[in-house]
Amino acid sequence: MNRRPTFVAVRQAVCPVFAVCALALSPLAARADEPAMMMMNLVNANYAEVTVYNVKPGQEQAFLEAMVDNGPYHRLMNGAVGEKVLAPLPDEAANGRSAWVSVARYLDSVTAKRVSSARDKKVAEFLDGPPTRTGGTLVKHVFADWGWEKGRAPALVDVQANGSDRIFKERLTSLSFLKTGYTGQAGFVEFFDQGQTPTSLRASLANRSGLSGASIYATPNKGYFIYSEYFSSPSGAQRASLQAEASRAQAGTVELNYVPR
Amino acid sequence: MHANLTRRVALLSSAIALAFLSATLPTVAVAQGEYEQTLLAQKATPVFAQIVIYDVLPGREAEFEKLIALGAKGGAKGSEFINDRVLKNIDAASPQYATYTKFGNAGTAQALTTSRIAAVRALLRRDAESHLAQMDKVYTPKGELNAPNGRELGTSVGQIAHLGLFLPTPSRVEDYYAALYKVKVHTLNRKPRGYIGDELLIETQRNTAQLQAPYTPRPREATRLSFNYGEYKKLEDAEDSYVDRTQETSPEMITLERTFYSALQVPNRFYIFKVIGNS
Repeated sequence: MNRRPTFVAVRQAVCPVFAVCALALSPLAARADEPAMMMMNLVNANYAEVTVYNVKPGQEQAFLEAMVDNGPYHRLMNGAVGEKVLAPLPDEAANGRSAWVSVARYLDSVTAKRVSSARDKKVAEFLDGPPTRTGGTLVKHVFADWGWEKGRAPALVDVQANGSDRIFKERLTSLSFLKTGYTGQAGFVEFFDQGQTPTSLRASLANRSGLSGASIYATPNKGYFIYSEYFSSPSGAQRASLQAEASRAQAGTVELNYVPR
Repeated sequence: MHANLTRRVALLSSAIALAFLSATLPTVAVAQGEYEQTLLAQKATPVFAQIVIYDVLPGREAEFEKLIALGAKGGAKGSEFINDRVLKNIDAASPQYATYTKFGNAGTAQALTTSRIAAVRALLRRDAESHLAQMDKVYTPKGELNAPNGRELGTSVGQIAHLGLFLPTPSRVEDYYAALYKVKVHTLNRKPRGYIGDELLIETQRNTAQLQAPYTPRPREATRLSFNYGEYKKLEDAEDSYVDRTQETSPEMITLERTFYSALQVPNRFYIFKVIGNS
């Protein structure tokens, strides 16, 4: 069958236009962000290392640069999931707490050791003494809802690694604790050598009205550490009280917050 | 007659296709490092912004707020001054502020901002971090604007603001902006609750790495900072917009997301503030 030339010409000329339009207007072309998947990786990272660095005065920026250059940011290490680096809060220095803290999440302790051993050599020149490091296995995460913003006590939701993904499908809690790139907020590291249980630590978190989220880890010596972040962090007196309850503790401002690129 | 009509239709369709492509894809391939200039050169009336981050000494916040509230207009006349926003960290334990001030020309922006920083310097625990940028695009619930006037986000206070700073790799900057624009259109199309708007800005020139990142890891390759300023009524609104709990994963989306983050030279910074001044 012979088609009419006009129809053929129109079809041949217009089809590419429709194809381009369809491509540009398709739902997939308009979607470019998928933070939930990165957040799920952070939830499922069941191992963490907290490292405390005493940085030489004036070497802070060089220290941060060495941390990024020699950490997992530029490397495809599937076991390295994410890292936050905290600068000391300005008023913490007055209390003798002026260390920088790295909170790094991993899928396994082997990858953690690989990262730390390689990086320690590269950052040593910026430090006063070797860093102190504590590794732990995830007990649970605790996420707060938007009670802080709504002017009421927040409700907390417990989340296990590789457990339910409800927090990513329903608006149960804030997910700010898992936002990559979010900096400037206060973070708090507390170490407990003995005398605590996951239940007692969870109860302590429930009393912190400005809480955004927290992760509780068990250490090999039967102790625990908690990393927590806040929309409105504990005031000076409350913070001092919390620090007194812990074996060691330090508050800081999140300066770096990244996942490997 | 058929042949003549065929040619006309083909020409018309080609023109439509070209027009569509030019509107949806990066305009031209240009030499490495010049791509941002092709984006900014399209603005008939450029709007400049000074973005300044201040780390205030603990206990000096009230003095700082009083001084910074004096504004940035100075002796600027007419269209030289457009808008000034004062931003405060949502957590009182972090005495960090920012100002985001728009001007009609770069010279006025720099002169007035330099004076303003000098006026508060004694209240800071370290030098302020300051950047001069030009507005690229604005997104509001009404739509996307390629030639913004700097007043689109209004003059309200009390809302949540986010300020993102990104340092892309020069050879990947076209991919970076293509992904960024798609994210913003996606946000707009979802009509998020509490959405006031987003503004994209680009540093006016390639400055030194020390200026671009005085306290954080610096880029190895010379580049321009990319800024993303956005406002939502509440932080919960912003997060619900950012995290779409209804979308399914797709290979295309993952590609775009990885392209955006992999194009960066160093980890990005994304600050959350409350708008406490807006004039």
